[in-house]
Amino acid sequence: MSSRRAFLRTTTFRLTLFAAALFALFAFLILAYVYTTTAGALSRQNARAIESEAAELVRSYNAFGVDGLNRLVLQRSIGASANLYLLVEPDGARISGNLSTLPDEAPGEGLFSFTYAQPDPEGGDELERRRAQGRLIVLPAGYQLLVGMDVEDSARIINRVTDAILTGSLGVLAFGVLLGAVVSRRFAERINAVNQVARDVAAGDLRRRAPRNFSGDELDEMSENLNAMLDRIERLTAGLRHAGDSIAHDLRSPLTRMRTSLEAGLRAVEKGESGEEPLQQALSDTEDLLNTFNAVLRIARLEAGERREMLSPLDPAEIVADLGELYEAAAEDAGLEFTVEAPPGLTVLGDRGLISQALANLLDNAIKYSPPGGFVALRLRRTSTGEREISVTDSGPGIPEESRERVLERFVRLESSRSMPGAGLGLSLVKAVAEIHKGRVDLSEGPGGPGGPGLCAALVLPEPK
Amino acid sequence: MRILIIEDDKVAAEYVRKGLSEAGHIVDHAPDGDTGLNMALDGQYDVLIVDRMLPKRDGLQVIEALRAENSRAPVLILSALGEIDQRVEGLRAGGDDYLTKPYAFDELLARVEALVRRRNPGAVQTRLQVGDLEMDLLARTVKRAGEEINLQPREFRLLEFLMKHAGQVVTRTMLLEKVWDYHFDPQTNVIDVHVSRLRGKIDKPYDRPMLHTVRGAGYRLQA
Repeated sequence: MSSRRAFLRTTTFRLTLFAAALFALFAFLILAYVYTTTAGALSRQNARAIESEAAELVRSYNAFGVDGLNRLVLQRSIGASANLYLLVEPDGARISGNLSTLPDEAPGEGLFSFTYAQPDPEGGDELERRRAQGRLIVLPAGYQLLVGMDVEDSARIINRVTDAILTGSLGVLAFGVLLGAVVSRRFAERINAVNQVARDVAAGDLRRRAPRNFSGDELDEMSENLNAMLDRIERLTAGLRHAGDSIAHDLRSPLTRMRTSLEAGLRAVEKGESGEEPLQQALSDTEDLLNTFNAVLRIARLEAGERREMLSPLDPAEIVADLGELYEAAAEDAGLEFTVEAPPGLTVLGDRGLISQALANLLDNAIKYSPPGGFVALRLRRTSTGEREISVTDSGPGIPEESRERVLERFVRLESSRSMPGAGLGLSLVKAVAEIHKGRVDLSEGPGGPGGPGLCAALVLPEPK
Repeated sequence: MRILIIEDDKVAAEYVRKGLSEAGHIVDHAPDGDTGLNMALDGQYDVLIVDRMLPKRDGLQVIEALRAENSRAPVLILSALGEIDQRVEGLRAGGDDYLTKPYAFDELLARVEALVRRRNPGAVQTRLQVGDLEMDLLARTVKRAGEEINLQPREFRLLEFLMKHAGQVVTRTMLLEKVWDYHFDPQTNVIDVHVSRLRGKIDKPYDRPMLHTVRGAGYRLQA
């Protein structure tokens, strides 16, 4: 019941109802116009015919007296005709004509309507009452002359037209309302489906998505946009939850280590020893924790898209050259051949600090994992599709293909790298930086070297529009 | 050197006060923005250390009010907010340097001492000299004991920064920020490698080393 009332309240239904009413009114006006033009013309024509007939008869009376008139009336009354005549004496007695008596209806000055009885043309005993119009003329000697015309047939036609007009208008109205109901019900159902999804999501079920029919109409487009929004919300909350879990899990062990070091330091001091070594250890653990903490915060901020407005056009070659200059010495110190390729003339819409940090993370990894005697290559190029690809290729152990997707997530570290320092956040930050630039991270196999197949990690940024 | 620290965290303020006093400075402490602003306007301080989030008056407002009163005392901003945009906000308000909490005390000390040096540049310097090490900023040449040393452009800027802060500790983060303009900490010891290459050029061929490593803090160039 409430759903029906709710349905009647829908905007679409009200709109269709309004349109249907307007349409019906319009149809009624058109039909009314048709009525006045046809029926009106018909009755004006009748009136003219009666007037001219009456004029002719009056002329005949003026010329030949009542006998002449009588003859003419007799003549005209013979045969089937729509014309009606009656000539009566001043005392009311019938002289001639095809009507038997004067009608009961009070005759006015001009044209008046009346009915008269006529034997059923089908041949029955019944008398048929028919409608007529006429004029009663009182002649100078007191004779009365009724000249009329049978309008029963045209009246019937007009009645039928009037009926058609009314039923037609009602039909249009009914059809409009019905159509409106069907259309708006369909529409309301689709809107309701979207509303239901929104309510479910608000209630906490983030996996619900608005139904789509892929017609590309505005409702479908609304569903699409809503779904895109829900995807983002789901990703953000998942990220948040994941970050929370990871922080709890991955910060617990360094915190435990730090606590142990501090306790050891305290014990040492109590025993009169210096305690410097465990305290130094605690300090260095604190440093690691802070780095991890800062990285998590920075990634979360990037993923929330807070710095998108800071992007400006810049030359990636400068970023690459600067960073190459910073890392070259360190790479060579680690026994690696270091090459930089930075062709000028490309632009990206970006943030120097963020891109530099992402590349620094890639270079840190490359140097950390490539054994001495290998190489690290930092390279900027324009891809065949116009994207700007900044890649860091190393000669380390690489990342197995099945793990490449996973290592971009936060706190994910491969078994083989557990012994290396780090918290598993470097690549997640690269990914977050890529996403804030509407780009992506591509991981592929390197050309191979002394340390294994190698890794080519690329930050791919879109061509600025 | 007279230093005013405006910080509402009493424990942190006391720790910094003690550390700076031990380093030979005279330190006053203000627990909120209003008190801090009044003390800064009355006293002749060489450096102000201002926390961003303060009761009564926000740290940035304190700095803006100071600058509006034509106080030129260098300001080091301390903040738990460390992203680039917040850093830029702080410097735009009139701060001279920005340090993110939590910080190592050595880092704070190095930056405070660097700020004071910056305050008295005198006329525009075209020549720097530390011991027998000379730098000509116009000709872009470096000599030690009269012998010309060939430096890469970045090595030149690194040495310039070290010479301008001769006798003071400069941290790796300071070098990364001021010489390379990066505001993140690389995991690789990139700065150490650059410093050690510079040392190879300016120190190694000579008897007396000038570029010293300060354990746990950074580097110091000393005659």
